[in-house]
Amino acid sequence: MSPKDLEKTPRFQLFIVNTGWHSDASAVVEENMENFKSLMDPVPVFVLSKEQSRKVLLSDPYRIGTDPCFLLIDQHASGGQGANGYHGFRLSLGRATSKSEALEIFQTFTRFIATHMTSTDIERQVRKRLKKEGFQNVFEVLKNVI
Amino acid sequence: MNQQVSNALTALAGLFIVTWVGFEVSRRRHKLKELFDVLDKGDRNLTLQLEKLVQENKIRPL
Repeated sequence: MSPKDLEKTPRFQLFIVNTGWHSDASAVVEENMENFKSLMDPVPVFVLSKEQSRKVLLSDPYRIGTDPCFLLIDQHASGGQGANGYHGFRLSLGRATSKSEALEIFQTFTRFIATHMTSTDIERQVRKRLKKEGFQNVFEVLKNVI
Repeated sequence: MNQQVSNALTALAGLFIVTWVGFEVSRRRHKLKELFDVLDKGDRNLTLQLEKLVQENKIRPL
């Protein structure tokens, strides 16, 4: 993509892949989609149909059952450790084990995007967050032992 | 003799706790990365498919 084309394209694209499992995570996404969509403005949100979602996940069968998945692609980022030119991050909400956990994760994810939408390097923010959560996990485990 | 057994049991318990902490931290880290992570090589196919859908105008933003 040329720099001129890049200027015309929105920086972020958000994709929602959901094959439609009857799960708590799917219910949470469906119930809160309107709210989510308006909170994400001006990020374009692409929701794949169930058929499209199945087709996409079949190209990467390892991800089956992890949906609903959210993929935020940063089109303006380049270099670094991107997956062959792709930069951004994903949330596999299907991994949540209960409805309340799914809702909490969904809200945290929404807050994270809204907070870091203007960040020059959103992947760095994700890594920082993962590191922070990792430390919290270590403390929690140690707390259980003590 | 009793002292030796006691020391061995303490060492064994300590080793068990350290192993368990390591295992639990690694399990939680793996779970977290499965849930939320930056795009990596494993997501390449998925991102390619999504880009193709946009290019072919098969999906439009809400």
